[in-house]
Amino acid sequence: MNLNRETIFRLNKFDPRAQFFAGVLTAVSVLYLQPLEKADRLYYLLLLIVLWSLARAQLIFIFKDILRVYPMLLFITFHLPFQKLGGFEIFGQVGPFTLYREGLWQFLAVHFKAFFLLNISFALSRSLSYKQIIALLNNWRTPHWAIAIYFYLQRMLQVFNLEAIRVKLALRARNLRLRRAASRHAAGNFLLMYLLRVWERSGRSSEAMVSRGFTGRFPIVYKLNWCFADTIFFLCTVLLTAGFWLWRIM
Amino acid sequence: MAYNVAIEAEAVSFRYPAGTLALERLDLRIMEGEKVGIIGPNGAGKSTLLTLLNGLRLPEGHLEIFGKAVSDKKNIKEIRRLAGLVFQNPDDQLFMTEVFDDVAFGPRNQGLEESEVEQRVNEALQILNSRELYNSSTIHISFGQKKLIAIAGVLAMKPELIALDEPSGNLDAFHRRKLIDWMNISRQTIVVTSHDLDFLWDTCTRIILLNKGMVVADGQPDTILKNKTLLLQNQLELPLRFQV
Ligand SMILES: Nc1ncnc2c1ncn2[C@@H]1O[C@H](COP(=O)(O)OP(=O)(O)OP(=O)(O)O)[C@@H](O)[C@H]1O
Ligand SMILES: [Mg+2]
Repeated sequence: MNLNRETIFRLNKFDPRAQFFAGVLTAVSVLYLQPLEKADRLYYLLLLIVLWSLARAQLIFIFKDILRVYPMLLFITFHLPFQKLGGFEIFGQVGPFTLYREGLWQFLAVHFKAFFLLNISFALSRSLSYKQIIALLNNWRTPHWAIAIYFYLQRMLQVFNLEAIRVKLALRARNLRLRRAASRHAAGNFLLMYLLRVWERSGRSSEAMVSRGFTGRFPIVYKLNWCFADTIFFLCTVLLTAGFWLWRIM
Repeated sequence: MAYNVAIEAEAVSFRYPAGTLALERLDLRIMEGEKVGIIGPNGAGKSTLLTLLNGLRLPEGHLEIFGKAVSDKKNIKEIRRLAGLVFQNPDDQLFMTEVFDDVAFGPRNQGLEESEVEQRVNEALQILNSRELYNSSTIHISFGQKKLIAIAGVLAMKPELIALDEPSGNLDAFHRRKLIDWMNISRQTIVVTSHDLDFLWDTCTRIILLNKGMVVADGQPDTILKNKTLLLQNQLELPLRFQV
């Protein structure tokens, strides 16, 4: 189970509708079809929201390996030591590592399904490209201004990432070290410049769109095409999520 | 050839919101089919002038593109169809993540059939000999390649007037030559800014020299591009081929 880039690339080949409903199904299955406490459910909901936004923001240069199992494991279990806190007399003392490890195994035994489905849900939300989302929105008769705003926001996120890469290179080229005060000062300036540049560049993107005849109606760039493979894929997700559910009843 | 007026400017001024007066009382008349090179030092107002031609920015004074006043909101859509603008910085111009989608954006906005859109994209990339970029991402290509894609994106719209901002910058000799060849056979009106005066010598029928937002000289390439003192006064140099 290694939901890395290729998996996402393959998922991306399916019809966006299939991907979307599979994502929703796994999310529902994480939140409602598990034997979860109320607090855990809230925790998972938050996790899902964080993961989805990470996936949509495509901040891959920071979270390159989040798709892999182990970082994800850390990510969803980092609260365990703090949970154990309750059993200690002195407030603020974190339990010993063995306790954490024990807790981890217990946690995994109970939460394995949720953990697995979270991974899948993340991959699914990551695999939907912005073109597919625009096609979906079009299909659902979303107003054109909303689609334009969606496109603009995603372009802004993209510029955020592109500019961040550039700023990182520029900082490295000038040999900035955050330990030195002067460097910190310069880095602060860089950050300000970075935000200004993102703002400028996304503004100029809209100028570029307008100058090429954009009048608020985003042209269709992706055609929906549901085929047999999509049906199979969709049935598989249904079986998977339902299977976990049946397992729980039995 | 019928000589209709393509661009008519009377006392056109433009001031950026930040306060810089980039163009000052410009009077210009450019005929259909002319190939006009705009030269001038950095900050002369060349790029600013080009953005006006496409209705992207609204100037003071009177500006008409193919007889349509830019100040009239009803004309803007038509003006943007007639006049295509290639930005100086391709990073600003490319906003779709795939080359095909970016070049196809203009034609698709014109409401063309998908098969025709594809044909337009193919033709535009063919002109610049960049077919191999067809399936690339617009992010992971070189600056010069981005430049080519940005030009192709406007060529694919087949506008009557093409405004090119520094198109030959960062192009290799081969692609620069392709661009020159295309400009020489094209029948469209072309307004091009460049610091590559040899490029303008090869392509233009008229040169306009701007400085500090004003027209300093306007005439045949022969009279302006060979005038050493005039060029030096405006922080320019003779084209390489005339520097013996
Ligand atoms: N976005 C902006 N906001 C405010 N002032 C600007 C902006 N862009 C350009 N200017 C100013 O307007 C003037 C003309 O700029 P413009 O970009 O048209 O010059 P240019 O002739 O294209 O120069 P270059 O040869 O460097 O491309 C300059 O003084 C510049 O500082
Ligand atoms: Mg310029």
